[in-house]
Order: sequence, then structure tokens, then C-alpha cells
Amino acid sequence: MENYKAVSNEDYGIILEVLGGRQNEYAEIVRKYEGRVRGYCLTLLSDPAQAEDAAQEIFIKAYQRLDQYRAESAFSTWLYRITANHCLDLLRKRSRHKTESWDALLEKEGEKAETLLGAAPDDEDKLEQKDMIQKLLACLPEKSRTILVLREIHGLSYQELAETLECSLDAVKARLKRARHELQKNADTFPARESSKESEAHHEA
Amino acid sequence: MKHEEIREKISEFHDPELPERERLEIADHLKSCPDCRKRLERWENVRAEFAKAPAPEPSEFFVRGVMNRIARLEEVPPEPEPWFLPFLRWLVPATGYAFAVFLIFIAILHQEPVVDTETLLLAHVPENAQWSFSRETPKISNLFVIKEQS
Repeated sequence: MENYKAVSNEDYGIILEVLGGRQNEYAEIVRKYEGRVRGYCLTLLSDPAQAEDAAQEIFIKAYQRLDQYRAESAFSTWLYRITANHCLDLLRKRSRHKTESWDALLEKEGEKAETLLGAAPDDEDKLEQKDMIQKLLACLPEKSRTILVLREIHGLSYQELAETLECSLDAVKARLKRARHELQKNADTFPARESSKESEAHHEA
Repeated sequence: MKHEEIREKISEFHDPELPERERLEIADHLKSCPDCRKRLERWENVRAEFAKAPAPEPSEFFVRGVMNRIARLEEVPPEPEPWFLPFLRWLVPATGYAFAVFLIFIAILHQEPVVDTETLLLAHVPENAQWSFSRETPKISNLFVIKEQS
């Protein structure tokens, strides 16, 4: 992550200009954060077209609420909060229409998933593994998915997570632990390829 | 920590927020536990994929799209319509309907029958005249005769 305060101050200068009537300066903000916002939406929503639309909506929302930003936290954290909430809303709406349970996925693609998660991927497996990771994520509850993506992909600190998700540090730790546990449990559903015998021998010993 | 406790903490092994003491303890356990090593390996595979999550290429097209939408939001809204315009929308047709109803009323009021049958058949018949009914249609000339007699 960039230097927290430096980013905040630099962005705040631009924001003041935008609020002062120079709307075109907002393009600098969009240019700076569009990669992260679009990446977050893409990972979480797994649909490029929907992710692009969501990212646009997020920047529009941020623009409309710009006067509510109070430089108490980094602008990126404030923007992540809008992003996380927007994506969470979309996921909830989507989950009302379509949900694929982990058991259903396991039944459908169990063998492929075992191969992909059992050992380090070679180049040919990379595309399929990416797809499988997205499916593993998609089987998690929306809140778990949100915190995992923010932490594991976007590298937000616990403090930034607390500000983004508007909860305490303890709540962040508990939610992250639960999310990782759920993800690991799903990944562990598949038997290990090489070392299962080794493991059994160890426990017998 | 016991095996089960460490097993639960495997996914935190690479997290910089994990206290160093616990990391060392887990690392020590991993040396002698293939089960936890396998679990860590799986977690590292998942984590490695997270790390490779593609960051979309910078897109000036995207930036322009957002800025165009903002420009449309900022456009001056059209001037509000005059206060009397909404009234005119219903006043004009209402006046038309009222005028039409007025014309119909006047027409009914001044309606005159083309032939006053009562006057023609009854008013000029002598009081002592006898009525007779016939299926035949009376001739108009006979009717005039009756009128002259009276």
C-alpha cells in the first residue's frame, strides 16, 4: 500500500479543487483508482461486464458524495467502503436469484478441483485454477468474500479493513478468521494427492 | 499449541499480523506434521492465485465514460415551465367539452318538430266528429276536406 497520509493529503487537494468547481480534476482520481476498483469488482462479481458497470457506478456515487469525505482516513479507504458496499448489494441481489452451493459445485467439478488445488499449478492449469478460485470464492457468504478479497488481494491492513467495513478491529479479526476457515474448509474437501498416505502414517504413529 | 489449534491457524501463517511467537510455533510444528504441511500447501495455492488476480489494464476509455456521465449530471436542468402551463393542459379541452354541451342544450331547447301532428289531426276536428279507424292510410286530400268543413 502507498504511504497512508501522503496519499490522503494528495487526494484531498484534488478533491477540494473538484468541490471548488473544477469537475474535470476528478478524472485524476478516477485514473488513479480505476484499476483497483475495477479489479475488486471483477474478482468479487466474476462478470467483466457487470464489473465495469459497477465500477462506473461506484465512481459516480463517490463523486456525488465527495462533500461527505472528511480526510480522517485515506481517500482509498473511503472509496473502498463505497466499493465494498456497492458490490455487497449487487451480490445480495444476485444471490436472491441464483446460488450455487459448495456441495453442488463439489458434485459437478470435484475431480477437476481436486487436481487443481492438490498441487502447485503448471502453466496449462492456470486458467482453470483461476476459474476454480473464483468458484471457491463464489461459494462463500458475501461478507466473507468481501473481507478475503480486500485482505488477500488488495492487501488492506486490519486498521483499513476496520475503517472500510465500519467495524472494530476485533470484529475484523473474527470475520477474517471465519472467512479463511470457510475457504480452507472448502479447499480441504478434496483429498490430498500426494501426502494423504504420509499424513495417515504420521497420525498412526 | 496442540495440533488441532495449529491446524486452525494454518491460514494465518503468512499473515504479517500474526504474532511472531505463534508463527515460530507453527513453523516448528510443520517440520514434524505432514497433515498441516499439506494444509498449508493447499492454502498457499489458493493464496498464490489471489496474488495473481489480474489488475485490469488502465483504461482511458473507462475514465472518459465516467467523466461523460458526470458531465451529463452537471448539465443545467431545463427551465421550469410557467405556472399556468399545467392548468392549460386541462383547461383547454375542458372548455371545449363545456361549449359542446352548451350547444347541445341550446339545440334541445329550440327544437321544433317539422310536422305538428297534433295540430294537424286533432285541433281542427269538430267536437262531435266520430272516430273511425281504418287499416288504410288516409289520403291527405280527405284530411283537408275535414279541415274546411270545420
